Amino acid sequence: MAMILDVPEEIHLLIAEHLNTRAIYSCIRTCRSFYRSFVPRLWSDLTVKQYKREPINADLVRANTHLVEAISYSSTLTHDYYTIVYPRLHTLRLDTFYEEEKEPTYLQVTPLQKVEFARHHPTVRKLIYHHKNTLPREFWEVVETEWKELESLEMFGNVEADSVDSFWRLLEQVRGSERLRRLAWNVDDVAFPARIIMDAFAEGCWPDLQQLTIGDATCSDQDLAGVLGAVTSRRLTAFEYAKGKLGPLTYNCLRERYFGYLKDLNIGRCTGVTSAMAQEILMECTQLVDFDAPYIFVRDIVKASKPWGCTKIQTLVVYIAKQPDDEAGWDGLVFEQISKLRWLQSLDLQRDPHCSCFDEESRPEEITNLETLDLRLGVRFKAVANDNSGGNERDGIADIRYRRACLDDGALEGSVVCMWWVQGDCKR
Amino acid sequence: MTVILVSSDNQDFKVDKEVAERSILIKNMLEDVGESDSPIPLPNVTSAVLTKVIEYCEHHRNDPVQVPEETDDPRKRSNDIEEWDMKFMQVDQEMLFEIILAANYLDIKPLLDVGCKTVANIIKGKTPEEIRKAFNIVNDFTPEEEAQIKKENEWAEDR
Repeated sequence: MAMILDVPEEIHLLIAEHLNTRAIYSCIRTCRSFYRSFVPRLWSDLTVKQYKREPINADLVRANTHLVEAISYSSTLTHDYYTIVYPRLHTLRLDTFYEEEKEPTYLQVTPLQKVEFARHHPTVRKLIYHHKNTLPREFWEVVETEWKELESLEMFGNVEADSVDSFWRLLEQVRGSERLRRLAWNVDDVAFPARIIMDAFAEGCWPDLQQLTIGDATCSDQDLAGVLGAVTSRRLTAFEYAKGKLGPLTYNCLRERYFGYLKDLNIGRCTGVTSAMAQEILMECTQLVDFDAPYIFVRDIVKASKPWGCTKIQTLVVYIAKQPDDEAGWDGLVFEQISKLRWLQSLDLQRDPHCSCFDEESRPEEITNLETLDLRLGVRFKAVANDNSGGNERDGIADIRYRRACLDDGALEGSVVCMWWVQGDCKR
Repeated sequence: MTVILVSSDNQDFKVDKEVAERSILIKNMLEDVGESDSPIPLPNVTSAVLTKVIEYCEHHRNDPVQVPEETDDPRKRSNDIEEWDMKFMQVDQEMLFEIILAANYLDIKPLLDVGCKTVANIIKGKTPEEIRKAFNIVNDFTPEEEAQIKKENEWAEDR
């Protein structure tokens, strides 16, 4: 007779992948066998932060370093933690958590101590940098020459004013990272180093790079298109432009080169993305899995020249906008189209697009959300619902209905907030 | 084209090749032997379990093959189980673990995933004592060990 203790430890680890730290902590206190199989998971992804209370004891961490594969270090940790060596580390997150600047140990560890730490961890494949001070040239030299496995480099947050220039140049120092697949740049007040990246591509650097996130509103359409057009790998599977205007040159470059490759496209917070573009992406990007777009008009969906080709899509975030002269039966056609997306797991329609994201030809003050929604989709489906009690999520919707409310809030002037809630028995 | 699978208790199951090939183990076997109608013995799977596994594979015969490169993305590692699968997994615990073992042996990744998610959902939100009760586990720690484990890992409690 099969029991949970009869399945091999490797399956316990698969189960643990679906559990949070708290649940795993319960598991390891259940019995010896569970302790053995679940304790590695407890330590595999570790967050060490000092904020309002002491971090995990450094000696305790030292005793378990062989289990650690990913760590987050807050910007308030002391040097002691930077002397620990994790032999199997593949993900290093140097994070800054909310209000850490007020802690006495904030940024106490010197950049050179971080260099030493980097030198001891050549196994890192993924670096997420979110501290405010800049790392010295030596750090990036270590990254380029010793982190042979580096696949993903992400930079977020804001930096100290006097370090902006050196921050900008840091990508020049990792040109030799041959395995780099993902690059994310979302640093406040530091321009995206488009020129440096274009030069790197021109020299054939980063031959595997396929995923790009850019969060810089000041990047010109020409520069952005230049970067996208030069990607050494000739294919882009993920692209996110976190803010700013997506210009026509950039859009054309995406269409001409990457529509056949894109799996993850996030342009939902950009201006310049028209309904026609969103419609074209849904029709032509056959590999799409995640798509985040500002809005799409009901009429563009209904009058499309062909059905959506994005049959593999799992997550869709978009505002479906209705215009006053739309015909009554069109709402149903919209959801007929959506219901054909059989892999869809999450549909988020609650975006409240700012008027400025609509193109000039439409009349934003007259745009409303769909009047009625009679959405009968498979239960694989999860709708992101939002009612007056705040956001809530439920599995398996039967019906979604909708009502709307106008807010007097100046920031939302002229726009309509739509609210969703889930009705009916989820298990039906 | 059909293939014949033979369970550990010697029952024959005739299934479409497409359905049987949801199992990577069987798929590789068929590729290795080439065209052949000799039955495939599955000595680790009883007929009761094999019936369930085939039911699953029939239902999912047209699913796209999972792309392994996506799986390390935590966003995709959700605990959603689609309705059919959830109903399919409403079996007693013995059968649940038999299905998991069979999915592991036959190399049917999506079925293994659904099984593991089902177990994870049982564990979630429970105290150690409740977990023991749910799975009929005996606490074999000494009180000293229990205290030691708590001391070493209590940082995890408020994460």
